[in-house]
Amino acid sequence: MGIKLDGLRKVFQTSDLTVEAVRDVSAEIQDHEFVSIIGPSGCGKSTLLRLVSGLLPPTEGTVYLDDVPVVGPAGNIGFVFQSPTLLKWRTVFKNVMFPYEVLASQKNVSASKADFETRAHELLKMAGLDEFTDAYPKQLSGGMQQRVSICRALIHDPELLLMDEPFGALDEFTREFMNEELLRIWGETKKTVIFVTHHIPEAVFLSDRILVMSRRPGTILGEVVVDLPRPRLPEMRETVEFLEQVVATRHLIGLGAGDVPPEEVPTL
Amino acid sequence: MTATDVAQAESAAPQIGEKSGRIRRFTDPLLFAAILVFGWQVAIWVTGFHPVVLPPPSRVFDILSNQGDFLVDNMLTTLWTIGWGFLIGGVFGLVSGILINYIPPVRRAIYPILVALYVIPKAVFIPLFILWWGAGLQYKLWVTSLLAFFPVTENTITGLQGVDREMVELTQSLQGSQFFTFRKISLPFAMPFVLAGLRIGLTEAFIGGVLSEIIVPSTGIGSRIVEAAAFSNTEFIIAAIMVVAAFGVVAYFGFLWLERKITFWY
Amino acid sequence: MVLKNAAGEQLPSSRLTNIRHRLWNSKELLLTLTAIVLAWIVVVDVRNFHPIVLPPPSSVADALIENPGSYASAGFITFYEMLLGFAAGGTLGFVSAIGIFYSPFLRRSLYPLLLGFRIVPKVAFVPLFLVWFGIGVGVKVALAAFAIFFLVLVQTLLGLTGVEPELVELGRSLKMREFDILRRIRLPAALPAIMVGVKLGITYALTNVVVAEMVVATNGLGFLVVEARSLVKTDEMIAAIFVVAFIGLVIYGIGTAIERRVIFWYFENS
Repeated sequence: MGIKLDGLRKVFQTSDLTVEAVRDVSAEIQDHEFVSIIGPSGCGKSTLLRLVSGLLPPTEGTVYLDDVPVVGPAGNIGFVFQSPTLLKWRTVFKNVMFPYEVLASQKNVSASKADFETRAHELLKMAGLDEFTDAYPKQLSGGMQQRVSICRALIHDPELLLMDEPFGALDEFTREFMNEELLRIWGETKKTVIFVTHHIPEAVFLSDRILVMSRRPGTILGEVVVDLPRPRLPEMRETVEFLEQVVATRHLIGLGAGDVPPEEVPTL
Repeated sequence: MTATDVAQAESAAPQIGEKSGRIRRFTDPLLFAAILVFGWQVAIWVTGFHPVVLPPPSRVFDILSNQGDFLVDNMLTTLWTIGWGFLIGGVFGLVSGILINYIPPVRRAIYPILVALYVIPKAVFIPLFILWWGAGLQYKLWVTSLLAFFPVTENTITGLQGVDREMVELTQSLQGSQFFTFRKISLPFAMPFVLAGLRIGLTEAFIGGVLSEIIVPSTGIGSRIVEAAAFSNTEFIIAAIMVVAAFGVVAYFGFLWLERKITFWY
Repeated sequence: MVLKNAAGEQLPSSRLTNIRHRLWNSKELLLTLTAIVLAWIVVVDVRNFHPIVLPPPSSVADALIENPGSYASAGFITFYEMLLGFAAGGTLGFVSAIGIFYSPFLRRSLYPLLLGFRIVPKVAFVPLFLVWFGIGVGVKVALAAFAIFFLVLVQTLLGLTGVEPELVELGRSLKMREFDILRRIRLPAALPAIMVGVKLGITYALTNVVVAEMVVATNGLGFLVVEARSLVKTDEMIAAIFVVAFIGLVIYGIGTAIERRVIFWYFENS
């Protein structure tokens, strides 16, 4: 799915405050691309994801999915959040099947329930979780729950995958492992992915391109094209080329060796 | 509990005395109660002093065994009121909680009044209720259901409010309807809170049931307690209180057990 | 303060705080209250309620205005009894809780008993206390104190046992004596739980005092209510009920204000 962002602006208004979260964001993302968005806390990355998915209407500008302007949530997007956000009262399998139920309630399904169930089993197997199909979320570790969350995001075969700092809560070892798992799963399904993160090496390892956002109000400062070969292997993290990409990104953000550190943005 | 937790718990406990074992958690309370009762009995035997104020355990046990049926009968009468009051108050509380949560104008209009009423001693309405409905079952039902209503409403609202925002977003992104979100997400999520609210409501109904009988004695164990007080029959009163306590505890922990079973995931 | 997430929706916890914040500002509330009063007037008129059953608001107001002294003095008595009971029961409960906390045996034996006892309607003890204390101020204060005692005890114990171990370890590492650890670490950390007990306790004390007054029937607001009923003066009864309600609200407000001052650090959103 090709995505085009055209002059997006989003302002939040309450009786107490006016907050401009996102200003003048324009970008183009190709079909099957893996794009990361990186930026400081509170810069509007999450808002941007919600604008793309249609959950929030923009104050100005338009989002185009495959050249069609977005007017609301379309149901063909997968969403993974920072916390696994599983339904604790359902088994792993039923959690993965959740999107099917939602779509079915709106009579919006393209395949039969059995098809979905097969797919659920396949996804869980691919994620290495087939032994836990009937387990409950509280029996799983954080990393495993997040994997379930990813399966859930893929079950309805969306063309676009939006991931909002999905590995933020994990420790470094698990994070690196999950990165590799994610690439493996992505490699087999080749969706368009927009991946929001704080973590520069993660962004470099995973993406084709990295978009760098400024502090609030968020706007695109620039992009880094990650010129590393695919498939990405763990060893690549230790190569000079990898480090060069990381450095390039850091400079763009303002974390470079000679730069003045950006001021701390107080987050709401 | 991990090894780290155990280590920390031990280092953080006040550094006095013994380690604890799992068995002792059960035996210690019984041991303590037994010591108390036994000690009091011995004190009376030894001194021969038989105060009306606090009769010896032996007398209380006498009453429990001789008039046990009588006590339980009356307790069951009270339980009838409590049960129905709880049901009525609970149902209304649930419905109100849902309505208040989902209809903003209703919430803005009524919720403050609810909070205010929650804070006011509702027992003060009892004489008014007696005036309106006489001193029979009807007034007692009003008291118990009113008392049960508030915690149920309050907790239902809290439960529905606390739903994971991202889960709702997920459902919305798949074009799920509001009703679907309510049925499949909000309701199960709110369950632990709703059940806790019902449990508190049950306790309140208990209080209301006994209270309404004390203020205007008619039937039920509260009335019997008041009668016994007129004769300074403290043995009976204490026995009756024990019966009430027993039923209350059973009801409470029974409900708790039910709660744990239903919301096993919490 | 309103917290919103990036998607523009209010975060649940702040929504609740916000509701409470807007509590007294909502137009709908004013509307509803006015509607209730109006409905009251209309219903009394239309359904021709006998003034004994439901007097019109005007006569209730009259009752209050004509005789403010009796309501005020009764109110003071009730308030005073409540305060005494709260002070006595609260202090005792607090101190006992600390004692129980430091004895593992007591902690283990009493905690479940206390939990069970909490469920027992303390009002069932009113007749017992009547026998013990006779008619007078003693009964009411005793009942309130009795009820508060358990509440504060359980809450304090809860708070103390819930202190994060790391905090205590910090104190130990600085070679603090146990008494200092108690004073400077455990108790402050336990304050939120204790405050819950205090807030609930104040309201609970009021309820118990009023109930005791209704049964013992010598003085106080509870007595006024019951007396008005026996004299079949419904307007005075309702007036007394309003005064009780008013005191209840004031007390709750005071409790909340105290809570906010004492543990201002606990509330993330305010």
